[in-house]
Amino acid sequence: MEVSVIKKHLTTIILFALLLILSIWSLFVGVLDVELSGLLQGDSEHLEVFLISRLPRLLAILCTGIGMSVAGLIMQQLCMNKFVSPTTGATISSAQFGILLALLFMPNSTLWGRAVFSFVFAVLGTWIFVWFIQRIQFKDVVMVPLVGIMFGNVIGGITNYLAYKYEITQALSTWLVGHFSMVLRGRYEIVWLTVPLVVLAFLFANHFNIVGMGKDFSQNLGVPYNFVLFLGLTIAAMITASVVVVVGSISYIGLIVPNLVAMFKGDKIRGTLIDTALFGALFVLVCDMVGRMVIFPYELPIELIVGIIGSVLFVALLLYRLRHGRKAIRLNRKEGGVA
Amino acid sequence: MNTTAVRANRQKLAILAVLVLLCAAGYMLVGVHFDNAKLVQYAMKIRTPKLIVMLITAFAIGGASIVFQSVINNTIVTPCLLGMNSLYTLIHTAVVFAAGSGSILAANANCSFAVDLVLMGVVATVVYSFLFKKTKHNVLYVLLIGTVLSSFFSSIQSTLTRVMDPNEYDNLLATLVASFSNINSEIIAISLIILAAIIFILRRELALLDVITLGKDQAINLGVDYDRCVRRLLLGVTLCIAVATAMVGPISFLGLIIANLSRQLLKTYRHSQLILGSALFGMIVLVGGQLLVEHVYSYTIPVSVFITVGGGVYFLYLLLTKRRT
Repeated sequence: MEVSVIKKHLTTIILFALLLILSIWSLFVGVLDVELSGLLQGDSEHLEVFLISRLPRLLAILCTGIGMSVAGLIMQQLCMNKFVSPTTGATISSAQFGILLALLFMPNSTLWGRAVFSFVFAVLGTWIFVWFIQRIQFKDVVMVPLVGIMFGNVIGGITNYLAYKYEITQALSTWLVGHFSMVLRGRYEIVWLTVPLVVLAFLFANHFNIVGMGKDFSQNLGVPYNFVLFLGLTIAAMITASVVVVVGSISYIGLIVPNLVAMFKGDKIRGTLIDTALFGALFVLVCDMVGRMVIFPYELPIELIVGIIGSVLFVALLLYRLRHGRKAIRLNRKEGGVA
Repeated sequence: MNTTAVRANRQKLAILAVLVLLCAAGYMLVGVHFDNAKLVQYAMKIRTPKLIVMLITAFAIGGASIVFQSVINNTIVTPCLLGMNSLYTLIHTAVVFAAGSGSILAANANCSFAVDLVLMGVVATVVYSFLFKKTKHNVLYVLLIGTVLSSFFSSIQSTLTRVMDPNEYDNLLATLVASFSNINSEIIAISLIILAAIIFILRRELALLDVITLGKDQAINLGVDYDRCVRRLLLGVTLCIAVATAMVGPISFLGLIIANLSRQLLKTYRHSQLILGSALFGMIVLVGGQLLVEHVYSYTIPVSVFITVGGGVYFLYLLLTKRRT
């Protein structure tokens, strides 16, 4: 009994252990030397660096990784399409558009003011996108993300145009390329919003699963289709927006992480949500550490590292799927568990 | 298709051609001081190459977009989804990064054009041939991978610019925005020759375009080697876009606008007419837009901004009104 429980949750445990080790390691990577002995002795300088910069950064990374991958998972389930994500569903570009408008109309707005704008527009953008793909009649598996990408390009184009016109391209670029180097105590706390949102997503996981099976099916089971659909999209958009406001845009995590996890664990959200969240956090953490070490003592924004690693992974995933269909990879199932 | 419709379309194309001539004449003549022969000569010397470049660009992008849409069998896509724009920016950045902005490869316009063109042609051909083989000619997958590759390219490009010397970056930035000025006659000649060669090599496939629009099964039934034909056409499209991009820099959305305008106006499936219409619309948009930018807005807004915003709004309109059957 004990053994089987451990075996069942083996991947989760391994992921958690890896994440823990790397998290602790990442706290000690940086330009200023922070040592454990210094922290334990209460050296004020070490403690300050640790509390103002390193720890917030780690927390922001974890929240980003968990949030973006869960947002991607929800959107993929609800849209019945494996290639939808905050990037390919225009959520990120809408959030950026919201920030731009906040900068334009309320130049003195606080981070919270911008966050509100960003929330509203991210939610609106995602709703409009889903409304679009429900209205246009061709539900080709690849056409949906293509429409999303072009929709995102249009919003991005308008954003760029306005930024160009009012000469705030430079101010905006902070939110266009995601990076963690500005994450300091006092200006990153919005990203904590992802935690209650992810919990909410976990509570509704089974509902999302059912809605993902189609309108008729969910109504037969007594699940209010439209309500759950819009609830799920709103959660995903809010998570994305709170990440974009603090960190900037980070593409691909919501796309790749859920797909990779689903290849091993299948499509049931309750079963994969925790693994997806852990793996997402791990992925972002590794990418961020790579970015911090490549041109030490300078650092590369995480968006670039994710962009490079992520797109290679994504293309590989696509080609794999094309060859093998939607079959999941089965591990250690020699005893006749061919699915 | 009956002959009256063909004749009506010919009239429409003739009207478009007249409009192009008007735009071109307006572009050449507005604001020129005719009382001074030297000034007239100077204006002509500056304006003629720009006009020719715009006409070539419009033709290359317009033709390529129509062919691309017909092959994909979808009218809301544009070849800029293949990621050619970001490939161009990446190659250009990589050359400056590796050789330095002072080297002959980056400083000499002809060399830089040749390097851009050759690298783009080779990389695009290799990558897309590989993708076609891997995806077993599934065009939509190629398209999706293309969009992913475009963010891959731009990620590498911004990584390079962040590591780069700031002075070099300043030099580089000027060349990364689409511009019709400062293009010399040799580049124009080379581009024309390459475009003509592409059309000549693909003449048989281009003639088959009307059949390919019928769909894969029908085309194969009618005796078309569908996969080979589509692959060659798409490579041709890629090279056309490469020529246009290497010449003027990245322009997105132009293809989407002009190809759809041409389809809406002509309402035909004959590609000879569609391509011509699309090229003519492209010329009107580019030359007319440049005329506005130069004389009404006096260069405060680049023409690519007009095209992006206009194209974006038009795209949304298409999405809402179009129902694919």
